[in-house]
Formats: sequence, structure tokens, C-alpha cells
Amino acid sequence: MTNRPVYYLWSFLLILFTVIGFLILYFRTTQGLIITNLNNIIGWGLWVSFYIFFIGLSMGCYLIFSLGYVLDFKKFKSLGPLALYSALICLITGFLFILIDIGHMGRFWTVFINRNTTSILSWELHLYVVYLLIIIIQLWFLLRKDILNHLYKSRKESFFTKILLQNRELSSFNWERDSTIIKNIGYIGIPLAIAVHGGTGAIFAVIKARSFWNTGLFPIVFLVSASVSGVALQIFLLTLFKRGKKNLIKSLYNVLLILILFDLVLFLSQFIVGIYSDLPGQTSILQILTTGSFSKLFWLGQIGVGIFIPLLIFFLDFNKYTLAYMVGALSSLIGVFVTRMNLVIPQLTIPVLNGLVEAYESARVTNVYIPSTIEWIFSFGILLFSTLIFLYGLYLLPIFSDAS
Amino acid sequence: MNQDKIDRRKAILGLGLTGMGMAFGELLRVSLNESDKWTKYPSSKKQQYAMLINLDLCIGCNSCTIACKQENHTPPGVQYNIVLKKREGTYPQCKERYLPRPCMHCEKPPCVKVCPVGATKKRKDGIVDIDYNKCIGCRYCLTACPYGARAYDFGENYYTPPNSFEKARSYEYGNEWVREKGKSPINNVRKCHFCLHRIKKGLEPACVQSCMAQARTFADINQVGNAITTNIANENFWRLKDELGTFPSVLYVGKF
Ligand code: SF4
Ligand code: SF4
Repeated sequence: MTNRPVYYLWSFLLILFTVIGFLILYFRTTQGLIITNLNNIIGWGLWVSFYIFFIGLSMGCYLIFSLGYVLDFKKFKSLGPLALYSALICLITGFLFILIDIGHMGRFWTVFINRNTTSILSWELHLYVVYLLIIIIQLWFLLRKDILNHLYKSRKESFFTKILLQNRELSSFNWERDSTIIKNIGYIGIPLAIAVHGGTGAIFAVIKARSFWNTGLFPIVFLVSASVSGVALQIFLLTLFKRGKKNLIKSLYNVLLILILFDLVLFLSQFIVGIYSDLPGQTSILQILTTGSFSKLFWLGQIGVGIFIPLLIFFLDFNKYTLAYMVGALSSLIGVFVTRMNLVIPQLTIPVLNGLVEAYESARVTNVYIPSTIEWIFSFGILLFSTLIFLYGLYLLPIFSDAS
Repeated sequence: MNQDKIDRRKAILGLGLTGMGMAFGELLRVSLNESDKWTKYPSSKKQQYAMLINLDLCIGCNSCTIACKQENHTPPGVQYNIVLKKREGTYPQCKERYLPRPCMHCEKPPCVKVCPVGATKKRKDGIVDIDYNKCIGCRYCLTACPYGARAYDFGENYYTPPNSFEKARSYEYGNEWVREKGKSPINNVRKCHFCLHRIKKGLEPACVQSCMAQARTFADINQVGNAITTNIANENFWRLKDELGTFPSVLYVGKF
């Protein structure tokens, strides 16, 4: 919270990117989805994959925060602030991705006035807002002691100081209550986080037209792989910023492995039931994944990067190197993202009726989808923007003050 | 003190579980009642426009596809009616079969259920309607339709700049639409509306009128004494993907 020039540099960069971002958003509003390679057979693509990835990431981080602060696992308590803060940023990133994915972006806010009680998506969007508020409130109570202390010490007359301190002496604040408040909100927060991401899975699972999605297992798969990504992100951040004791990271990594294996079990279960039942809707998608157009993504991304490398790092016992953990965590993160793409896109490449693609000649009626360059540019733009806000907040807020 | 706290927690947990139980029970009650309907068809006595397509008469000429395009001024990639083809055997012993597919105007439409803003609704006359001014273009309905009947308007045109045909008004869902950049129906999901504007004038949908084999019949399913009701009474029809419980209002006769 010191170091003026660095602060200005950050602020400048952030503002610059925000301005560029809004210009690009304007471009997106005027052009519509014509800039994407989506089509009328494959209506959801890269951005939706990113969206569910980040909502899941947010839930995973939130659960890690809750381990320490709500469920009283003392060991993980030091992770709390970072985990909660990253849950917030991931949620916002997820929002941005769903925002640019909708056709009439300007009508986004109408989802809060035109409700549809039978729509999972409608419920989800409302839950996101509640979840966002809960994270913000908890973050405030988690950090307010440090923030107010700092403000008090610096004694600068600014807008924030006035609002937050309200001319009170520090001793008049009741810090003792804070952790109880965090805990009690957490009792709502945990089921809510699970509902938020289980619901994201349910968006897909309730579609009876798509048999690979339409299983009760699907939302659970979402939850478990989201937990994988949440733990992986925490390991990655801790090793990157060189925080956290080594044995803490080690035990986190063990948790990660257990979750990866659990995720694998769920996936195998879906896979085997699919193969065994011999239904065309099931086998065709497994064929696309294992030998068809998605086989590279599947074997290299989902299995290789997502499962094999993290396992390898565990078994080779690179105890001395935190770098190894970092690599393992990062590769598991990438693996989960690829899994997300594999959950969404291959199912859509199978038209709901035989001959649907052939019946009508058009570039927008095809079962091939390769994200366009602009889709990637937008995605990287959002990722960059989120990273910047993340770092900026890390710099401003006392996230690490009691972590290490 | 501590004891009190634990009791309170238990009470909250208990209340939460009871709430969930009740919600689940309600869901069960509703869906069981619904499943009762599955045995009867049509499931209600309400008005329901329906189409009967005789596949033995269809020659696969696609004039319905063209008529639809002309009537609704649909852009490239957006097509409300298509004709699916199936080939059997190899030359010279081969057959081709056709299946025209408009929107089924399902009695229990999955697309209506999923729309986050309620932009797509079932009208009183049974037509599944999209409010283009409400639709946010999320494409959830497009993914959820089991018949691939929906298409997203990406804003593309056949000609640049669009010619007079493309710029002309279309009359969907009883409103007038001119495709202009960034305005509905561009960036919306679109689909067949049984030519609602023509029905209102007492005409048949364009595809029905243009079919030279007269393979299509259009009527209100619950009106007595028309071609469709006779077929229903004789159980002489089949529906696409009947097992999904969507109750399509487009009925087929003959083989595909
Ligand atoms: S055919 Fe598709 S778009 Fe038409 S009503 Fe049924 S689910 Fe909706
Ligand atoms: S695309 Fe439009 S009509 Fe379809 S679900 Fe989304 S908001 Fe509803």
C-alpha cells in the first residue's frame, strides 16, 4: 500500500485497458455475434466455456475460503483472504464472458425485470447477484480491521476515510464480532456457492434434447471439477507470490489430487454407462471425444495436461521445488478449462436431427466450430483485464497481511 | 450460551431441510400430474393450431422452403422450414425420402421453459411466440429445441448493401420488422410462427399454400370436423421424437 510510482503505473494501466476494453465492447455491440464463428447448429462456444470455467473457479475458491473460516479447518485459515478475493474476481470475469456472449448486450439488465420462473438461467443470474453480495460482505468483514487500521494510521482526509471511519476512534469498533459474522454469512454462502455452480451445470443438464448433458450426474461433474480448479488456482497463486508454508501447499496439492481422481471417477462413470448403453446419442459423443474431431483436446488437454502431469508431479516427488507444484496446479487449471470445452462443444456438434446440416446450405449451418481470432482476442482481453484488477486489488487491499 | 447457539443452528438446518423437502414434494406433485396427460392427445381442449404433413405425398421439391423464405424475408443461415432427406440403398436400387420440418409448436415446448426473460411464450392459440423486443439473444432456446427449429440472426445479408427484398418489412408474430443493424430481429433467435400474420387474415401459412403436392394441411386441432381431427380420431399420425414428451403440433402421416 505504499510505493507511489508503482501505484500510478498500475492505475494508468488499468484505466488504459478499461478504456480499450469498452471500445472493444462497443465494437461488439455494433457488430453483434457476426464476428464469432458460432452458427445455428453450435450456438454456444468458447465464451460460454470460459463463462462456466470462471463461475466454477469462483465456487472452488469460495469453498476453500469456507474451509478455514466457516468449517473451522485451522490449517486452511491463512488461505481465506486470498481465496475469497480470487472468488470475487473470478465471478466478475465469468460475468464479463456471459455478457459478451449474449446477442443484445444492451438488454442484459432486463433479465432482472423479465423473470421466468421455469428457467434455470433466470434463477442462476439472480443467484449470481446474491452470491456476489455475499462475497463482498464477507470480504469486507475479513479485511476491515486491516483497512481501517491503515486508514487511521495514514490519517489522510479523503472521501473513503470519511465514509469508512465516520469520525470514530478505532477502539470503538467491535472486531470480535467479525469472524462470527463471516461464519454466519458463510452458512448461507456455502449452499449458495454450490447452488450457483451446480445450477450452471443444470443449465445444460435440463436440456432433454441433448442426451450427453441430460443426466443427474452432470451438475455434480461441474461441482467436482470446479473444486479441482479452485484448489489449483490457490496453489498456483500461493507459489507464484511465494506465500504460504511449504507443508500447507503440499497438503493443498494432496487435496487437489484427491479431487482430480474423484473427477476422473465421475467422468468414467458417465463414460462407461454411455458406452454400455449403446445409445447413438451417447456413443457418438464418446467417439467424437476419443477418436473424432475433439480427440486432441481430449487426450492431450483433458487427460494429458489435466490429469497426467499433475499426477506425475505428485509421484515423482519434487518435494524441494515449489515450482513443481506451480506447474502441476497450472496444468490442472488448463485441464479443467479444456474439460469445460469438451463438455459444451462436442455435444453441440451432433445435430438434433439427422440431416439437419445437409438440409440447408449456409455457412452458419454447419457442425464445425473453430473459435474465430476475434473470439480469442476478446477472451484474452477479458483475461488480461481481470488479471489487472486482480493485481491492482492485491496491491491495494491487505489480502496477504495475515496469510504468510 | 453455547448450547443455545447449537440449538439455533439445528433449528435453521431443520427449517432449511423442511423447505427443500416441500419444494421437492411440490415438484413431484406437478410433474406427476403432468405425466398423466401424456396418455391423451391432444392434452387439452384449448385452441391449438396444427399442421399435418403427408410424407407419402411430399416430393422433396423444397417449394415450402422457398415460400417461407419469401414470406418472412429470412437472411442467410436463418430458415424456418427445411426438408430433411434420407437416402436408402445404392444406385440403381435406391430411394429418397423427405421430411419437411417447420417449428413443431410443441404443446409442452422445452424452448419456452428455458428462456431466461420469458421472451418466448406459448400463445392462447397454441403458437409458440417470440417477443423479439424482449429476447436478449442468449441462444438457450436454440440449444434446447429438440428439432433444431430455431436459428440465430447474425445480421448477415445475401447482398451488400442489402437489396430491396432483404430490406423489406416482414410480419412476424403480428408485428412489423425491418432488419436494421443492431436492431431486432437481428441478434435474436428466430423461428417459424405458422405465418401468424396470414392466419389472422384467414389465409393458410405460406408453406401450406405453396405445396404443389398438397402434402400439408393446416387447422385448429380442437375444432371438430377438419382433416386433422379425423386423423387424430383414427390415430392415423405420428410425431417426431414423441418419446421426449414435447407433444409436437406438427403431425406426420406416411413413411420417412
Ligand atoms: S419445435 Fe423447438 S422451437 Fe418449436 S416449439 Fe418445439 S421446442 Fe420450441
Ligand atoms: S435467445 Fe431469446 S428467446 Fe431464446 S432463450 Fe434467449 S432470450 Fe429467450
